[in-house]
Amino acid sequence: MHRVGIDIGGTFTDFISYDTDSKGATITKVPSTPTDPSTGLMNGLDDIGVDPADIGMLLHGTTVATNAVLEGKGAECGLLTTAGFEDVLELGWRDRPELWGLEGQYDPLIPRDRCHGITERTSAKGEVLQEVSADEVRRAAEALLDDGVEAVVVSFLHSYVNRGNERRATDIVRDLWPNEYVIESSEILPEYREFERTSTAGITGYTQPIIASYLDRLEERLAEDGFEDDILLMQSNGGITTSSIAKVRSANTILSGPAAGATAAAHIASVTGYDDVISCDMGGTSFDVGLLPGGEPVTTQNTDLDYQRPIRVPMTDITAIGAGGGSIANVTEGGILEVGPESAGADPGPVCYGNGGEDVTITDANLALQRLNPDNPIGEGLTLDMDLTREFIQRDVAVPLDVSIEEAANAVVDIGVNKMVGKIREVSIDKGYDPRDFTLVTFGGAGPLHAGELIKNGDVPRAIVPYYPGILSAIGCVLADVRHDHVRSINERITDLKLEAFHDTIAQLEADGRELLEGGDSPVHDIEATYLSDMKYSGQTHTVSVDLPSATPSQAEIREHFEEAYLAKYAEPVDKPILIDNVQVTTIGRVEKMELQRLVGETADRVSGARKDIREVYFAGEWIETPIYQRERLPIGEKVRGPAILEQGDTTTVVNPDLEGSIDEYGNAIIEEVSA
Amino acid sequence: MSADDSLDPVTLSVIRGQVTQLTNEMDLTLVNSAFSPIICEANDMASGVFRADGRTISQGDFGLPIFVGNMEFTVTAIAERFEGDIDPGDVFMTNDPYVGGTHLLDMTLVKPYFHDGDLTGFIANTGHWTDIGSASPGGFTGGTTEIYQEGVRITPVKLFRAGELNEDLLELVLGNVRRSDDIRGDYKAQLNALSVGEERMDSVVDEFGGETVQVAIEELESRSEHEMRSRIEGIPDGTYAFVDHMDNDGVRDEPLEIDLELTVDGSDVLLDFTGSSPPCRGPVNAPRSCTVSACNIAFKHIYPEIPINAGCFAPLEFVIPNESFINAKPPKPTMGYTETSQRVLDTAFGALAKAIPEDVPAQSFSTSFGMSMGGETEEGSFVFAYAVSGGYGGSSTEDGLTHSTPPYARARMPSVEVIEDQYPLLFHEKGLRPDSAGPGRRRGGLGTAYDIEVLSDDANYSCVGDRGDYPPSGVAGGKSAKGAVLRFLKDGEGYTPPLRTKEQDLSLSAGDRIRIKSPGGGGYGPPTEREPSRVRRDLELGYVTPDHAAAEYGVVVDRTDDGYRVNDDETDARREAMDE
Repeated sequence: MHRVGIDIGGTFTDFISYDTDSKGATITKVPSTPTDPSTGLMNGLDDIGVDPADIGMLLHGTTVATNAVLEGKGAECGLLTTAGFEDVLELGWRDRPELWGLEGQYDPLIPRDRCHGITERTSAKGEVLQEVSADEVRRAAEALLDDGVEAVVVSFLHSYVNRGNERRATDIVRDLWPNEYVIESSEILPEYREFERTSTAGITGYTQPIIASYLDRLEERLAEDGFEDDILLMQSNGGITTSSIAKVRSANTILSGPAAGATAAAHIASVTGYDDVISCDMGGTSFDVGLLPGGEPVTTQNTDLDYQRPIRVPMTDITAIGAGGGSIANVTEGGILEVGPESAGADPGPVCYGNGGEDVTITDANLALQRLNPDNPIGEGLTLDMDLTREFIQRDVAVPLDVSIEEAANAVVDIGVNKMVGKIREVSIDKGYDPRDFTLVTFGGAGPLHAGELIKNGDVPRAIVPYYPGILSAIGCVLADVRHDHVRSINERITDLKLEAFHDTIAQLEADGRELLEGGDSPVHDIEATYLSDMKYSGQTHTVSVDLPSATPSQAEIREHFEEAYLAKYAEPVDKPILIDNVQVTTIGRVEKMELQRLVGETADRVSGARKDIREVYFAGEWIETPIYQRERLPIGEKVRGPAILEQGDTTTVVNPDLEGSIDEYGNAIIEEVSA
Repeated sequence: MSADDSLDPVTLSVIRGQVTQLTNEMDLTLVNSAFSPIICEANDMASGVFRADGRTISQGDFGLPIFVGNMEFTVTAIAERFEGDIDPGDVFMTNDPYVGGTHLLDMTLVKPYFHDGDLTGFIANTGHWTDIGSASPGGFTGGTTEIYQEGVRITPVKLFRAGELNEDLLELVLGNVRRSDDIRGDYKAQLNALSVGEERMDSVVDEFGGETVQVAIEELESRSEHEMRSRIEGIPDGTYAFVDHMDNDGVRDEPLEIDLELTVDGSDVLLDFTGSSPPCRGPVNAPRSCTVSACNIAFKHIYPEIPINAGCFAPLEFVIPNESFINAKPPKPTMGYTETSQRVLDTAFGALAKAIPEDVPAQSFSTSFGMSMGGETEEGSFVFAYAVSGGYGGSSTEDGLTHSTPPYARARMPSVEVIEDQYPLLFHEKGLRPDSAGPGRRRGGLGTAYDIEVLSDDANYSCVGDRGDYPPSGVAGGKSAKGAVLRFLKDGEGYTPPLRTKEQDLSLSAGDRIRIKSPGGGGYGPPTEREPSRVRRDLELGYVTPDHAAAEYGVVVDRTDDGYRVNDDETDARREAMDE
């Protein structure tokens, strides 16, 4: 049976197929097809030579939802909310973007003319003060339909305590809505604070049609070819879930691809022996940075995707900037060179793809510096056009700056790298970590290309380029465990807790999770369940997450664990009743880990045996004769002196002058300053 | 490393990052473990780290700038007053407005930091207590005439002496405030934050050594001063005057004046407030420290990129007459400093806008409209505190932000659901206020409208607002925004307070409504230069009404099935007429 990991990025779709019998793996990379990403996916399966009928598990990471939110290209979305509170999204918290400076603008995800107030009201205690009027809901929904709205969010005040009105309105809308994209806020996030709940539901509405239509199409196509299991999706929390859940909980996939990459980076780092890692994933559109102190990704439930754009679901803590291979270079009227955040995307892509792209990108600059090899195509069917690239760099960058083509290309790379170094400082220094204690794991199609530059221009002394850096997110999908989080609201004092009912709730949530994990021909071998409650002292509004010792904790145990967790976080004990907000059961199905050493193919006996070419490459103001190596052929335990270019099927690694790359037993290239 | 060795830039950045991070963690610890929504939901607090002489090293990103600005004065005063009597384990407590405080509701805790037995700095935070034992519940009383009516004044005292809590003192204070149970929780949250600050500071010092950290702190301060001076050198030398007003002092119905002459001379700035109104009877007197902090904040907003520490403000000198309401002396009441300090900030912006109009936005809504309400329900007593949001001024580059936080602060707003869960209130509206933005080529942000029903039969309402009679003004031909409006529905009848934006001890019962409309921000540039397409979009989104678009922007529209279409001919004609 094959376990196939797939990551759909903005530019490329990556594949790894791991044969659980032979332990061997095959990889490939095909261009993404943004208009219908499933086309790229099917192309890749074909390319990799795996018959869908032989796939035991298809694991999938996607940035479809991320890109929709970041680029403002989600579904047309409307909001029905309690009359008088139509501006809930636009009002936000009463905040400005930065502590200092009064600048900034804010556009709510759903514009004001698509937010309709409904006469209805529930009190904080859950009493219905005013029933919802079916006619009014219908009229508002019809107005949204007339306006071309595809997804509608229903978010009423206090629906987390009594969802009656909200449910009724949702049902009315569902009856007349032509599709499934009707989102009930309390279903997505049954917690108080109307802005956070409506925002999370809004992001769900904004992305659901995009994720769902994509998955539907994909399922259909896979089924035609004989694949009958569920597609599994990587979630933002670093675990896997089913496609049927992902279609509804589309907000949980916002960081799908990046979370997969960080999962793999963490695994590779820990196996290799470097504990403190910064993951740097550079693809076509963005540069994503994750901090992994101790090799563990940090998860947070408090992510704001942007200024006043909260999303309250568990997510791996990763931040992105618009500095990818496809990021566009532009000389302003004032003669300033800028790079990104606009991206040429996959279509038309950089100039060098020859697909009609007319904007110079970071990838084009790397080609002009001959760091990329025009004859070593990235991905299936892509050859790079050097002449065209030089022509555009000359016209758009070199002439306006009055420098040579090489100098212009070098400046584009420099500016891009500086932005990346700034972001690395932000996630490390600004959080109080010293980057000099960390190791970068550079991956994505364009990460290794800049590994040397990041070492030379930044503060981190070393970069690991994994054996297959171009498909690390896909590998992360194969390495990840299956995870389901089930939450139920409790809202009782410990002293009033009906213990039997509480235990029943936990048992039910665990059974739900186990059922999902055990269904079908599940490859999961070990199932673990963990239990936690969000708890607080009565009167507080922020909670502490408390690990419960078992599925059947006693009141005394719950109290003890809460007090322990509280005092671990806060110095001062408090003498007040303790409130249990909710209980969450996480079920994790362990998946047999792929052995990373087995990925490494046949190598040469000596470094020189891996050498395949020599060409001039531009480094810091001069063309230098630089040896070109076939990356996979580099022998384990040996070192390559810079300047050197390591080429492989899915990416190119640059080892700048004065740096060297050591190949470890897992095939990773570890790049650092030449040792004395 | 010896003290005169210069540090490598990476170490310097790392130390700076760690110190900023520790103040951020202090902020979050305080917010997350507090009990009163004004802190745990609205972030009405701040954390800072200070040098041994009291100068600011760093402040958290989530707290109120005015608090940290003022804490520098408080810490400096404590360092001087208790010199030789400061020991490890001490914690000082004060809310004294005249010793670097603000108003009595803001309680500051200060903990000395020792390294190898030497006092090397202070860690401090301020939290807004929901009540401090004032005559009216919650303290935002519009008509006090002495500080003694505003609650318990705690001059700087040792609450902890070498680690030992003075329980008598604590109980004396808590015995004088309403809802002391919650406030005890908030006080513990403040202690939690001090512990976090101390622990994190220990790890910074352990990692780099105390001396290196000191060198870094001095280096960062001198760099910030150098950067601020180079910015000030970019402002043309000269004297720039601006006068702004407050509606009244809450007691006498006469406007108050803030009179500023701002003189730029090379890299030095003198802010001279001579001519401002004398001390007033009502509660809008502001301590000198607040006036200085408000001006510092104005400069920092204009040059946000300079790392914050005491060095930023070294180039600023002040003349603030002793006999003025912006230099409060005992026993003048200061509860409404919240309004006064914001008006001082507006005045500084107004003067700077004359010097560097491209870099300074029009005036912001600049009223917190601090309000409090107390009373009884079947479930016991309650004390509710609330503040409003509003629009920022437009700038040379963009429209002002809508529904923002006062420029001198960064407090958020508790969610309606949290408020209704905790207080006997029912909101009927919280939404944007159309036509409230000051018209301009770049308009101001919008104000907000609130309609709140009282569910208790025994409620006592007070507030200190402003900007009713003197709305936020525009810059460079931009127009003023709409001012604040406070109205009540009381026993079924409409009621407007005699002093319009200030009220004290208004008795409200179930079914009564509090209705507040907050100001927008002022406009920037002539409104007739605003692109008609932008006015049309504002119409579609309901930010402006067709009448307002025609009257203020000269944009005439026709309604179509798809929304609005600009009538170009009538618009041109109207704008021509307006420009004449």
